[in-house]
Amino acid sequence: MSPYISPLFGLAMGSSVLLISSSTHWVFVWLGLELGTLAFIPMLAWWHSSLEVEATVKYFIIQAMAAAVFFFGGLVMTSTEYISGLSQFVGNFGEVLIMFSIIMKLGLVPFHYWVVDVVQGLNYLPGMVLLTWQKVPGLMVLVQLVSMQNGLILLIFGALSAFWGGLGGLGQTQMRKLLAFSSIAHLGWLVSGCVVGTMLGSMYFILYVVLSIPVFVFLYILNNTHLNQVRASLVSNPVAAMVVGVGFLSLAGLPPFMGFFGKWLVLTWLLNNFLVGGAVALVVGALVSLFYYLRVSYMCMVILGPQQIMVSLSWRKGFMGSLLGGLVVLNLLGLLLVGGISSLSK
Amino acid sequence: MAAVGRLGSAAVRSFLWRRTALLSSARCLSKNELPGPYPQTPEEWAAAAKKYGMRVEDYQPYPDDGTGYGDYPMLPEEGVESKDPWVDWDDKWHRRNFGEAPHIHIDAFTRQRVNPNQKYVVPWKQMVAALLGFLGFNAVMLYFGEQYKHAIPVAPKQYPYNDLYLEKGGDPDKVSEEEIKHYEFPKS
Amino acid sequence: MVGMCGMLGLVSLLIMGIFLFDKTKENLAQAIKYSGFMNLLLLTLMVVSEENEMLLMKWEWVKLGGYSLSISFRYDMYTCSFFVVALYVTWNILIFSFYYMSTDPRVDLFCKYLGLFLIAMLLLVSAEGFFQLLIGWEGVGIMSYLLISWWYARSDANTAALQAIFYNRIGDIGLVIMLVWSLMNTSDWTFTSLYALDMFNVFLVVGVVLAAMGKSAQLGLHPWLPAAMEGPTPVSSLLHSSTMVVAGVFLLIRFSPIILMNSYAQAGVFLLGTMTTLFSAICALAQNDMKKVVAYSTASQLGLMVTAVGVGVPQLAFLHICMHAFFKAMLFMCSGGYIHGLQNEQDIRKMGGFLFATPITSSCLFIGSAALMGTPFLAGFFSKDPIIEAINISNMNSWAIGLVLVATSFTAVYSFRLMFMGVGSASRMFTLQPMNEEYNNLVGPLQRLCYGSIVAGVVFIYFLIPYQVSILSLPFTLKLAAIMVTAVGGLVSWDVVKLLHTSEGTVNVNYLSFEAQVGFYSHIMHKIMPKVWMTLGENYQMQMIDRGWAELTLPQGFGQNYKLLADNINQTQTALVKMYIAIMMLILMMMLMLIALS
Repeated sequence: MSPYISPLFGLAMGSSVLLISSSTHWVFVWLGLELGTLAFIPMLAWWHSSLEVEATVKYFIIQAMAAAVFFFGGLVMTSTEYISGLSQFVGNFGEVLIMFSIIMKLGLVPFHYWVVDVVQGLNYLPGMVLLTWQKVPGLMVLVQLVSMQNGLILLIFGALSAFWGGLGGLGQTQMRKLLAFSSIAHLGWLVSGCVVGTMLGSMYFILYVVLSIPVFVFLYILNNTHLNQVRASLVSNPVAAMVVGVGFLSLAGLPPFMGFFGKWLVLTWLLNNFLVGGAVALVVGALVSLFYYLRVSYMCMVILGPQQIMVSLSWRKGFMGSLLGGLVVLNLLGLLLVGGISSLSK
Repeated sequence: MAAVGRLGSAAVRSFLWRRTALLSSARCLSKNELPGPYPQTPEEWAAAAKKYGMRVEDYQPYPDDGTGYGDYPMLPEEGVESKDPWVDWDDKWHRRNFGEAPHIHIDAFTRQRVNPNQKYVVPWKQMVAALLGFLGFNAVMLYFGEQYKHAIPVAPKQYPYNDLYLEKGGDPDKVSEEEIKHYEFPKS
Repeated sequence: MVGMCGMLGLVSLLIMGIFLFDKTKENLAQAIKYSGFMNLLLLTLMVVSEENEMLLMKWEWVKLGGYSLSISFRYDMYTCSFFVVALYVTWNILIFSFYYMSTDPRVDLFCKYLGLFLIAMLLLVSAEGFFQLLIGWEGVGIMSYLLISWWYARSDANTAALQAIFYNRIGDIGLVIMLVWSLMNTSDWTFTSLYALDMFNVFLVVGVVLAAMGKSAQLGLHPWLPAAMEGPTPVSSLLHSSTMVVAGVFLLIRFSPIILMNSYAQAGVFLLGTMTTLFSAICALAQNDMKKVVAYSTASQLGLMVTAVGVGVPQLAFLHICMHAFFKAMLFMCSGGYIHGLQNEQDIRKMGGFLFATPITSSCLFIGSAALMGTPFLAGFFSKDPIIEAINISNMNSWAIGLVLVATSFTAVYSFRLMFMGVGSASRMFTLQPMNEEYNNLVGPLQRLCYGSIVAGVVFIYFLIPYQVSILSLPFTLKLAAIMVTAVGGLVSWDVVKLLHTSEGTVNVNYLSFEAQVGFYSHIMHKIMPKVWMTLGENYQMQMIDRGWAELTLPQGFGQNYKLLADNINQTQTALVKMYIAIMMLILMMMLMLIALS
């Protein structure tokens, strides 16, 4: 892709978020969402291979459908209640429709089917942006929508996502599919956090972004797409392998890494609000997904291959590692940050 | 150069295919050397006997009733201590020859632990009879001792001052009425 | 003033701890000696203040509110006296071990182990809080293990040390039961609060009695004590005669107010002590190893101490602990002198006629045995005789009382046998043995402990205020019962043993008899118990439960189920967008209908 066009798309994506956050009428929210989607589509097809293009098309279709449902919901809302802003929730049918469309956009169970295929088709870097940045618009709408009536649905979907994401990733050997299922699981936790309090949801989202970006980037550096390649990464590039291993442990929610604190905060707040069932379901889901996280971490950090397996050492991509060193350190020092993080969400 | 390296590693890998015992310093038993499930057919029986280095006539696994150990042979229970110390074993401390299948409970039968067939100079029954006889005899006698306890006769304690009448809160006006004597002079 | 002297007691502990790290072992011995004198000052102060004072010092180590773990010391008469006695005896044993272990390359480590053991024992004795009691208890157990297996290349020593640990551990179960009960029921985890509770409880007493059985080698958990003779003689003389094995009795003494509340508990303890006394005395008659005779003698005296607790005179039991420390340590040291002189020969059938070869050691053996038997006005008399008097006027099982008297006479029997075989008869040892007692490190401690054995009784009785009123009007026969049975036993045994072992030849002793094999107890138990536990553990717990049902229901079961679920989920990812849209629309419709209807 030409270097003159990509900033335009990036700008468009940024402005879409601004648009969503600053608008009061639901049409403009819809506009922002569409803008973001449309601006992102070309960036997905950077490499022009058939796999990428197929993933892009799938993404486009699903997002378009979600946008259509959003519009429909907005129309229903306007026609029945004569309100146009999203923040004045009354709990009507249109709102539910809008919420379902956001769930579709985010990739929450039961509307998650596209996440796996899309992330598998794309390479790591666009996949990373998909799973992190493209959630921001959806989340911004979601936090405005959550109310008592919607909360139950979101909680159920969240718990189900955590479980589904865990179970789905059990049999995966492709790293990107694994990460897709893991993002579904984490999205479940995120949404449960949003149900409790918006600040919590944002906190969990920021934590998730911060700790998944190094994982994606270092996997990209190692060029590991299959589990067998991960097994050999310790020998070829120990630093990257360590970062990936630690990052996966952090995603699994093991202390003292930072991922644990997000999960811990969500659990604490859920229990404070007496949503014990949801908390238990989330934890069970996290336990299931622990298996594949540990498997990947084990392969990255523990196994020493006896033979030299040929992997492509990509020295061109090495520069990204140093940029992300800070994020990695943040990951490891989650213990120190927890005090600040937990006080922020109160 | 790189091609040579690739060829060489491919050759090594193809030679080492399924030859894990030669591969690395971390030795591990291959799949067919490990114990397996209970042998069902005579061929499996013979193969299992060969695996453990035993004759087919000698080989007998534990019965498959849920408490068995798969196809591991049921060796006679003898502690290491009771094996003959004068035989020229390969491993003298454990009194075992190389390749011999150890008993499944070998960790309990080592030199300073359980020895199921320890030979006693005094016969077992005699030992148990002696100990139980001694303890039983004592138990019986102790029972009788409880029936007839030892006690030297004592009288109730005698206190002065009319059995401590005033100290125990008696009425001062009625002192002269209660006169308790703890002694008597013999009439000559 | 008492507080300051209490600080002296703590300071003495600290000094000993510091000198543990010193390179020279003589400095450690000096430190122990000076600590002994410092504690003597404290004891004097206690005595002067009519033994009414008690000092309690506490430091909270882990602050947990009502359940804080603390190091707290209780300095009452028992503790102060025991400190002095234990430090004096340990000092002497250390000097002795300079002689005995002089050719050992690791003798510095040995002395450090002894010092560490002493500190653990003193912590146990001065413990006010149960946490410190546990520390001391486990500490002495560990040091006993390390010291018994000092010559670890010898497999018998390893077996004996393991045996000591096992039997002690069974007793520790009882200790833990007691600790847990008191944790739950007392306000803070101390003796004072337990006494204030003034409550009898089965768990508490059973736990304490089990702990005492394990540590003090009462019948049932006794085989480790004779096996512990595998350790070097200083170890036997310190741990397994004076100090460690009395820890169980000491525990019983501390808990005696509670045990004596219930007549069944009291009777149980009494019977336990009685059976132990008798059984050990019987077994001591037929042993051929000199150290084993003294070991069984120790076990018999421990049984007597427990009997004293059971009959209601715990203070006399404590007095007997102190007296017994003196002469038993000395007896072991005499054995040590003989063993070294005979080039590690311990069999009394190969000894004889030492009276002329080693006069000092033999006289100390005689004096020690005399004190052990309860010869009037030596040390043992002032504790043993009142105990037997108290037993004679108690209202307990008459057979048991008879057994105690029998055991007392057996004390004389085996002591005389030992003396005859070792000191008295014609010499059966090899010629040209380097029997030599020209060592200051051997003779000095022997002499000091000899003075102790003779004089300590009088000194203690002079200053000790009895807690129980002793009855002064006993029938003539009961009053003299102990001395008479001792005399009878001694005379009979001297005659018999002279007949059996003439200078022409020795009668073959039946080494397979009931007594000689310790009632076959260890043979039987060591075959049955491991088999039983192994069957239970291996077949049932391990195979059926742990590797069977537990595996199947939890890890493997979950694994299978999740595999099925994961397979199903992966089948939904068909990669056909039309399918995805269809499913999503279907679910959307369903959810909308559900929401619209509700």
